[in-house]
Amino acid sequence: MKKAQEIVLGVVTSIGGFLEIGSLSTAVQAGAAFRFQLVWAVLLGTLCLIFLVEMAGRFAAVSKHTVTDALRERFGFNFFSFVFLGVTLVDLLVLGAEIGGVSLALQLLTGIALRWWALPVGFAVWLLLWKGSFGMIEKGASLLGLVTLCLVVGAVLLHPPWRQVAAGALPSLPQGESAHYWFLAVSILGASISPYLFFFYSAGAIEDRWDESYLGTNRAVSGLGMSFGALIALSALVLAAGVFGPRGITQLDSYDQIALLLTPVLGRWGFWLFAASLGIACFGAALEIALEIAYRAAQGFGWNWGEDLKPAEDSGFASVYTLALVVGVLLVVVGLDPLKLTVFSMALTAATLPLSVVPFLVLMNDERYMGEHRNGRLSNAVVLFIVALSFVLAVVSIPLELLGGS
Amino acid sequence: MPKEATAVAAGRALLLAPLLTLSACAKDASASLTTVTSWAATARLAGESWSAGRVPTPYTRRALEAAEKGIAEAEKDLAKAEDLPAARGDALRRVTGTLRQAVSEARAAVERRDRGALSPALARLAAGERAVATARNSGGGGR
Repeated sequence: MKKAQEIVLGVVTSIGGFLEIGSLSTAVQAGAAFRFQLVWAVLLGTLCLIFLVEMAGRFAAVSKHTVTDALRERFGFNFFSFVFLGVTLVDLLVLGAEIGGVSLALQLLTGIALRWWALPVGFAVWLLLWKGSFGMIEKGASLLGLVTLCLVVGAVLLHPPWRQVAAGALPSLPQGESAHYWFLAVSILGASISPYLFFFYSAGAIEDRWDESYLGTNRAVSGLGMSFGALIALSALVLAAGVFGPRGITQLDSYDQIALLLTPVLGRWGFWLFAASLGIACFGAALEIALEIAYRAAQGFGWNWGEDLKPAEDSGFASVYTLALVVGVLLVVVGLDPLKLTVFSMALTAATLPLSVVPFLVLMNDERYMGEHRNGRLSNAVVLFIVALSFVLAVVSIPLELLGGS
Repeated sequence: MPKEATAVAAGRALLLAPLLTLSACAKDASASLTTVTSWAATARLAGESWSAGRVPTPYTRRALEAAEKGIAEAEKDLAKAEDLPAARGDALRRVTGTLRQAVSEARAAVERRDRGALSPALARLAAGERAVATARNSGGGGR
């Protein structure tokens, strides 16, 4: 009975925690520009994420190591530092995008410019990390994130042509703007397979003291939770295809455009629900990313760590999330366009995936850590294929998009 | 310039420099027209939603401001487009100028909270969008 409750709670928190600014904005841009043609990218990214999250939970439960401390132990400090630097730089950009997302939601709700909100938002995130417990952050933010289910309601009420939506599950070539098409595909993959998600999940499994008896729970939570989470991203894509496409809004350059996503379907409530969804989802993601950067630093450098410890007991850990939040806030205060920051940080995430995923796969196949629970061929093949595809597409499409090619 | 503003500008320039360098190439006419159409349609949707009481005034004002700016930037890109004959370019710029003017009128109506004055501006936007679509279909900047 306790395990069943944990599965339900885990799935619910995964649904609430799945959507953040990256998956929302890339899905909406894809729907507006290419209707249902990029459904396949959301599905492929989710499939890869399910495998990676399941692996991260299994790794923690079996080896009692977080992915980060095992990376340092297995590959040495120099290699760990290289991975740490690359992944952390991208995570800082994503953190800036999430703080920008919360600020933007507050701008929509109050009319006060988003740059004025960056500092209060950063402070609120910091205060929760400083004072809160892991359970409160993980479950509280994710449960509030269930408000994003309004996107699913909106998509259903729109009565989209479901056959065309289903046809988008098969990759197809665009009729024009191919550079933009592939760039969006890469951004969707980067938003779905964000390494912070599975690093955070692994650290959470250690915080919750998982052992091998949790392997079934882990499979259920990763499979069901991520699938339902992807349903929300797909709903955003379907809504954009139905609301923006037919009106000729095929190019989204600003969140001022995206804010109208639900209004034609849900009326007055649509605007406020969109703002609430954006704000809560990004706030939850900002908490998770700041924490994850601190976990990675503390676990990698051998400091005390744990969100349930007092800051005085893990001062290095607390200093890292404080510094990360300062950087994230600065990215918004200097006036970087939040939408451009989001989309490029998602594409960069895809480009740097091999850096975090390949060493993780080596760990998952190492008998010393995993014993009889090490990866099978299918898991290795699926993850390697999707990560390699994301990397190649990113390397080709990012320069083309920057140069405005087609 | 105050010190704070200088620091903000310097920080932004430092962070945006690589992106701006790479994206400095002129857009082609079709891309600029897509931008114009998207912003004009956004302005119309925001205006209609405001008229129906579905979105708040501060948001609508901001969205219309962004639309005006977006169309003005696309107009500049259109002027630099190398794949557009001069006569066709002039005709398209007249249409985009009309659209920008209509967005500006819509913004003024929203600022005065004058729903009556908004309707004709939205009608002009719709007519302008149709004119751009016609121009594109007849080969004006289509790819």
